[in-house]
Amino acid sequence: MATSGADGKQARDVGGPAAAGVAVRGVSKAFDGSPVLRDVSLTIERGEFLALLGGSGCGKSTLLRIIAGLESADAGAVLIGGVDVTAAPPYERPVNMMFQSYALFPHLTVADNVEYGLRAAGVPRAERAPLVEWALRLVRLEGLGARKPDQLSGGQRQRVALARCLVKKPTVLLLDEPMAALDRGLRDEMQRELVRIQRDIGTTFVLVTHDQDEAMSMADRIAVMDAGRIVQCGPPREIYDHPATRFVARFVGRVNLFEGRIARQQAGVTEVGTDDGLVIRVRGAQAGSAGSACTAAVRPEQVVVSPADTGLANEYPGTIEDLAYFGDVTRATIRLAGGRLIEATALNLDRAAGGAISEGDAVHVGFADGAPVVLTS
Amino acid sequence: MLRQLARVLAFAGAVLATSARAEPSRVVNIYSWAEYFPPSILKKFEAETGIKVNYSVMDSNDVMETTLSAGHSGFDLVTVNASPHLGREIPKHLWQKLDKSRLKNLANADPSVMKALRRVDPENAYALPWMWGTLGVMYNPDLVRPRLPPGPTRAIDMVFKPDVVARFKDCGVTVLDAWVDMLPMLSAWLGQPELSADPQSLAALAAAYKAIRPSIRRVTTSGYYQQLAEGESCVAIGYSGDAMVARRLAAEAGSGVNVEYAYPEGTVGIFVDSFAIPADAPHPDAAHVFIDFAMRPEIAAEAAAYIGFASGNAAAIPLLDESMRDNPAIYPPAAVRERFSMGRPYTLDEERAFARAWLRMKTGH
Amino acid sequence: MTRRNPPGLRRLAVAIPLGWLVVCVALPMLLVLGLAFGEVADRVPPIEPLLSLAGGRLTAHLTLHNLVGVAADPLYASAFGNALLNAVETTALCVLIGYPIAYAIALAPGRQRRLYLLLAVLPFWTSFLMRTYAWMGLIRDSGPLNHLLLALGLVDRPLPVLYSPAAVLLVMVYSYVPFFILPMYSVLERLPRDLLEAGSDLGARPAYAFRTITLPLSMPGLLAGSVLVFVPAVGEYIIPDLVGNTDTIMIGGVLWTEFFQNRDWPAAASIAFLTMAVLVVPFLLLRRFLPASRGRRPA
Repeated sequence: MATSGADGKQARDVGGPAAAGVAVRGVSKAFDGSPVLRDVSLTIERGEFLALLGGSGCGKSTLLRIIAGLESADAGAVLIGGVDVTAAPPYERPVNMMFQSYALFPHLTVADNVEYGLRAAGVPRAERAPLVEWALRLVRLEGLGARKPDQLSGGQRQRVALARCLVKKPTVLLLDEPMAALDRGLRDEMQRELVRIQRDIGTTFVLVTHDQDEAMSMADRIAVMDAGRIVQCGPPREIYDHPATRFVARFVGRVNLFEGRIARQQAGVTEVGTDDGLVIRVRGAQAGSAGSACTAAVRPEQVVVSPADTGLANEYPGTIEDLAYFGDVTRATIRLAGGRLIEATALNLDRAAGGAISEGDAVHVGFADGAPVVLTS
Repeated sequence: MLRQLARVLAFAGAVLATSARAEPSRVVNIYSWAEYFPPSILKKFEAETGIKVNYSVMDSNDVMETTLSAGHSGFDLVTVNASPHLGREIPKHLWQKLDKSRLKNLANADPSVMKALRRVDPENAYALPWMWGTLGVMYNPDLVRPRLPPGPTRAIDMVFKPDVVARFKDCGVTVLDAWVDMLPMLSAWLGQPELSADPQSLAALAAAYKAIRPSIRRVTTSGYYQQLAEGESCVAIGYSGDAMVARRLAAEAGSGVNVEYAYPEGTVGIFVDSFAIPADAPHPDAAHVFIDFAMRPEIAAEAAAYIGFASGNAAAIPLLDESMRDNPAIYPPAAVRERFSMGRPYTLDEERAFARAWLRMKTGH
Repeated sequence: MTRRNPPGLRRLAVAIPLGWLVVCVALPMLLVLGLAFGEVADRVPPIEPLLSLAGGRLTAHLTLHNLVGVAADPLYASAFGNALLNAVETTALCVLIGYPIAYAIALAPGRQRRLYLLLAVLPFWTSFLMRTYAWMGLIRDSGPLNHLLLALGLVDRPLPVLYSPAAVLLVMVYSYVPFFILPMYSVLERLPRDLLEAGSDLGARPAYAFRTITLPLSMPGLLAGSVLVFVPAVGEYIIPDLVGNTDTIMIGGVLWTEFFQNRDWPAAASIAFLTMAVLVVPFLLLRRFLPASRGRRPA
């Protein structure tokens, strides 16, 4: 990877391979006095595929641009490969960014677009041609080098943008909502393609997205952002199964939230009493003493709906309020006796089972004591 | 009351006098330089005769010629430049002969100017002088004197003699950008009998100008007198009227700049802005009434005092203020008047040859 | 109303611009071309009729004499050379001065941008002659420029700037630079910012990014602005007449003299025609260049 110092990026060869990666330390940023990033710290390992996930305005794109050097941080530091690049301009950082708009140079051919970064870095002509060829092959655009960007389809343009970054063999590749402009079928294909390429070349990828499915399916690790902060950072499974906050639980996937207080803890089971009189049993000891406020979160697919008793640790009677059929799953909304609505999804495993339950039926809903997560914030 | 009565009587008289022939004109369309007639006398004329004056401002004799040539210009009275314009336009039938029986004040016209006019209008049949002036050498004595060579120097040599004019190069020499003015003057200085378009004489003019060209800072007909008044030039060939303007500007600015005006030692070129009536004038009768009115001594004097040019009306001069009347730069002494000269009418080919020659001379080609 | 595009209406929509071009462009140009072949006469208008019908014979009075004469005369060639050189210098300086101004305006925040644009076109609100006279006042021997130079001790006698080729160039550039700034600005303003960010991200230093991204992409504006300056600059005669000297005689001034003073319409028409013929070249170059950057084919 340490190709040469000839491309002019000072930070490239500094720091050992172990240090390669990105460290964001205490970065804050405000636009016109309104804070966009608040004391953000994040470490991205070398070769990792990290997704920055969050809603619009959460600061994820700003964080990406600060790593790229396109924005400067008001406070804090950015280290790439162990080198502090906080003050370095974009053209001196060993990172490349794929823009949401692709930002292809309209006056240059595909090959010239890809070659651009090499020329800018002063790579000799003889070395440039094979690199360009390699990059175009990597994104499966061999033979289209002579075209102009406006003669390409949306998906092809995205591949050019990707090749243009990868040809530089950056330490870190930053991707800003790369799928936003693609239609659904193409998006799935490109997601797999990006993952393949990332595996092949082992470059650190940082992906900004607002699409949780995209983040879950592609990333090794997800950093969920909200209001300028990283609220949780971990592998997709951890984010989904053990959300740290109500925000994360709600943002990633669907969830039933039971707000209440810890009623008691005994024999490895914690009981949470809700304001509307339900008691939720959760296996394992939880932080917080009796009486402290908390929320129990249960994913809809963990909730079982049955005309009869479910035999699970938590079980409540209710009425089917609504059934939504999605083909692979059916989502049921059940009104409990106390008026609370609960969502449950079930795989449609058996075609014949359709119609076993219908709207207005009295049912039992239940979930195991291993299903809920107790959240304190 | 009396004036009103006079107007009614004049009107009645005019109606009686003309009713046999045609309706008397109630309007006269004048085409002349801006402010060439003081508003006061136009008002007086309208009040006295009941003829309304429509005044159109002329911006050049060339444009005027084009306008009249196209026909149906609607103008009744024009102040035309005598040479070369009037001279070449009479044969083209652009003007009509004046009806001298209607011009009671004809005799007031200045005889020496009338004589000069005969060069282009041999019988004084078409034009009468309104304002006129001479071509001469203007200079700033304070800048010129220290640079003069020892011994006497002729005024005209200050521009045309190469080793003299070179002495003024640093303080600025300007000449007029008009072949009509420059070529006859240079030709006279060279001692040629008359300005001629034959190649040899033109070559002599070109050679003479070439020798002084490096010392000439500017060739222009506009604004040169301002430069002189501001001390930014020291010698200029120019019109007598402009010399007076330069003096006035210098006095108004309090710059302490003096401007002298000297006549060339040989022939003295003059320009005459003359009354003339276009051949197709719609109201020639009203034009005659206006000319006769303007030829009154007191009216001509009022205009001359207002404009500052030399009046073509000899009877008006005694009515003028002493400082004006006795100013030799405006009203030259008899010795200078004898040297008055005006270009004869030139043929089109001659004019074109002169114009091209001048263009080459001034640009150094 | 079953027909959506009445053919009559469509024909009219084509006929109006076509009619305009014929009446206001093609006919006058043909007239000028015809005059260039005409013969001078001492009459009104001062030219022999190009065609005359007498005694059942149609006679054409056409001569190459004017065109050949004008083309061969070193005076016209040198006046044209002066005008061309002056126009090239004016255009080059307008590019060098106008481009950074247009660039700065395009980069300024929204509200300031409107103010700067207004300032750039503000001179148009006063008479062109007034502005030229104001310059004459500034650069004359006793004007503020020379006062300053003398006060600073840079010169010990007034620098004769007015009535020199330098003064012509100065006032020309001053007068024409807004014509360059406006088209240049409109192109630079639409230049996508992310392209420059992408360039920087790919390792391009600002100078390299300017050369490889901004400049090529703003070329249409640069060319349009240059043509808008160059073409009228070649024919300019008022500024050289007011602030220049006889060394700065330009083709426009010569044409004026031939037409108004000499009443030699054929010579003036020949000058106009030959000048136009030379000026068409940059337009053709522009047309060749533009489709490359503008032509957009659907994928």
